[in-house]
Amino acid sequence: MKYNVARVVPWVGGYALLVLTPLMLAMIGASPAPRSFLVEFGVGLGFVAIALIGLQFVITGRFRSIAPVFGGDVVLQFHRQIGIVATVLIVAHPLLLVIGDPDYLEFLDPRVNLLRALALAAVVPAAVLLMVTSLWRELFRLNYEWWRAGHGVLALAVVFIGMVHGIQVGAYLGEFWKKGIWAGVLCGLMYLVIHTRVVRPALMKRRPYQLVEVRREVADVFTLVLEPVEHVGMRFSAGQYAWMTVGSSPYSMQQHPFSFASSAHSGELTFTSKAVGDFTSSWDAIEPGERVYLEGPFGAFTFDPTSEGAVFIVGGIGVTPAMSVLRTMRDTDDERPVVLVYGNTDLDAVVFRDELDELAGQLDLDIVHVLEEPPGNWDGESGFVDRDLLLRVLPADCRTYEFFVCGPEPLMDAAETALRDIGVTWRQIYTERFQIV
Amino acid sequence: MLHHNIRTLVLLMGLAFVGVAALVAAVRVT
Repeated sequence: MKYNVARVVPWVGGYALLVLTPLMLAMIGASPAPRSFLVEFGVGLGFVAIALIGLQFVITGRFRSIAPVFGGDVVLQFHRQIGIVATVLIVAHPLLLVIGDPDYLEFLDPRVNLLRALALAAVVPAAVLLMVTSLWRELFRLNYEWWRAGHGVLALAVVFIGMVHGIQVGAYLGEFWKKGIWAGVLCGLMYLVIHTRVVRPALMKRRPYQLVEVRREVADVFTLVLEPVEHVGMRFSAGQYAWMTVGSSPYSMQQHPFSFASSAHSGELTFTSKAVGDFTSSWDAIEPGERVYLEGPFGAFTFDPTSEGAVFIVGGIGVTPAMSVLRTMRDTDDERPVVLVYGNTDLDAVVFRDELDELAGQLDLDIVHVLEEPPGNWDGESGFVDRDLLLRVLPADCRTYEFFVCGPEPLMDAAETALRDIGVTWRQIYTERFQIV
Repeated sequence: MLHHNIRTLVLLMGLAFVGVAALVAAVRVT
């Protein structure tokens, strides 16, 4: 895939327009007598905040029309960053109102309206909780499935209370037609949640997969080999990923994203993962014959057919999408140059080592192994994949290539800095994170 | 697209949204 301004601008512009639509809608038609600037500003921020939160449902709805333009990682990073902005605005909304006119404290007075006071007193902490549990899930020792269920429920509660609050206050939404639009949007957002959690799993249930083999690659890295059950399977592009649910029900909260490891042209469907989380740690115990459900494919981590060459900067299990691309290149006799910078703790942790050596003989592939703890006779690169190393090992003629970065956070940060320093533009860089929350 | 680009884009968008809300409020009170 290739990013370009013409594809990105309409999406970003459309998004900005949608964010401002509730505010603009509120200003049309009958409106209350103007109050102080701080109050009006606070009200405006409330409208923007509710639009931002509402649109988060669209952003994370895994619509295949959005993902191919930006890629799952970009969409998720945007979701995370814009979530912080939305939370700040949700907190700012009551603060500005109360500072502008302390009479607004009445909204939180249970003697005036118990239900309203409870709902509004809960919504701001709920929004803050939504943000902090996502940014620091591991610090709170929150299990992924519980976090995921809680994230959805909290987000729905925040948007529901926020939108009902807008109608109840009614200062800018007094007219029937405005209330109608507002209620329609709320119903639409509720439907999005139902679609993601009920309709889509129901569609997945019709296309089950079966686990045929669990392969141990190195110590704590396993490959799952799947085959479709009575359907043609999933067509994907090398480098993409799918959301996987293991077990009898596709409605489970235990749905995780994994990159395809197999060639897009072999007909085989494999996923390789390191036993790091609650889910992947159980991979070695999964028995062949187990039902698996896949949703996808997603992602823009794909080598564009028009590109001159590719550089993969990967760490640990981040090699998986690169393997899919390299295996596909082998199967399609793709002769374009590829550089793979592959960081690992030690030689035993290098996944697909033998196959990569084979691929280096079959493709125009340069592999730079980087080991944190190299063996005594190691004559390759050692240490971490950082800016200095990348500037040293990347070939001078790679500036026009596409760059794919997948690995732990420090490696991704180092790669960003190094690529900027050698003059690579944002249009050439694709990222994929394996730790999403 | 880089993490850094996304942060910058979101920051600019956030500021623009706050700016529009402030502008609307200013127009309302004048």
